[in-house]
Amino acid sequence: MSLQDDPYAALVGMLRQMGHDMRVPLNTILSTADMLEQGMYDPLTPRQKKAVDRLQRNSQRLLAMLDDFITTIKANAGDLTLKQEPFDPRALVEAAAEKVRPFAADKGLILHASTGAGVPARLLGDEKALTRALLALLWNAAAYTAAGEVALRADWTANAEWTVALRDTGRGITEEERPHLFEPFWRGEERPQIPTACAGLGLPLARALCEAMGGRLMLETTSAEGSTFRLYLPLSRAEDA
Amino acid sequence: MARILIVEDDLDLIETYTDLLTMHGHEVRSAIRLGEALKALEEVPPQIIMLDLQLPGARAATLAEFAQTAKRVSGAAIIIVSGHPEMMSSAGLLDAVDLVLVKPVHNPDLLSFVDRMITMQPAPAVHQG
Repeated sequence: MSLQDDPYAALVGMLRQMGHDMRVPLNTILSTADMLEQGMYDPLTPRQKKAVDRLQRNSQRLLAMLDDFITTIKANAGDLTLKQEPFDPRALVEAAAEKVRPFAADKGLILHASTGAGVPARLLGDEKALTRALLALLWNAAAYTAAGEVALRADWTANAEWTVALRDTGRGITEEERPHLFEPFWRGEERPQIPTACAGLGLPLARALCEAMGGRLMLETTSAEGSTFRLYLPLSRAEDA
Repeated sequence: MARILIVEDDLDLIETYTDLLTMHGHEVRSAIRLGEALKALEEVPPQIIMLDLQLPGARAATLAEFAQTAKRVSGAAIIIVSGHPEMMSSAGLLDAVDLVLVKPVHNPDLLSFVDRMITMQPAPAVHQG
């Protein structure tokens, strides 16, 4: 697709290519930093070790950003290969929460995760994509909530949908901010300290993944006491398949 | 210890893999073009070939042909190491390839796959780095 025929498609194609090509220099940086850190060239002084840690942390952050970026573009283009495999939805929710809990705890936040009794024991879906969507929401909520708690709650609806609500006790989202919430790289005025694993594409990535899986993600409620995001996914019970 | 041939056009990455693998006792040669790689594998048959999918002037069919020839001549296990794993389907390489690694490959993963390759011939698999 040429820039003249379809500038948008051409640009998306170029961004995808660039995203893939960036993996090569990142491979060199990460591998070299790892060898330095292991003392494989020469033993490091404590200051050098700290500098290499910084290199590693930021290379990982760049890689996470790149992965989120490529996945968002692919998901929006309907070009994501998704699996249909049995998974345990309770374990998935708990595992996602467990990954973000240390970051939340460092900020003094309590992170709850629970699943309603009505949720089937096994569902069919792409466990990796589902985990990624939940993690994007969780990192986002933990990063933007200054105090209090973040609660993840999964349920099963009367329409046979897996629904997950993510409630936080942040300051809420203003009228002016709402139209920008799902825009890539929009972070609002506050620009909180983003954890390494959080690339700044949380909400757009989560929404793109949900929609690629036939679901939807929305801001359900928001006030000065906090916000709740909710996703719905039409997943089949594993035993029905 | 394994004899490994790296076929890759990024010189920094060749140097990085070479450092990593030689420091872990492996014998490493490299080539940046398929012609060079064919010559290298005839001179010293490798046990493992690490092959990039995007080499200068190498189309999908050429890569598939190289992989089949390399397998026949040297019997080496072939590891595709690429930032574009989706190119595998169009490259038609799957029959000749033992493993697909997605760049960036973490050092411990690469070392562990290399060790596994020299002790067994695993079924084709894709590992996301």
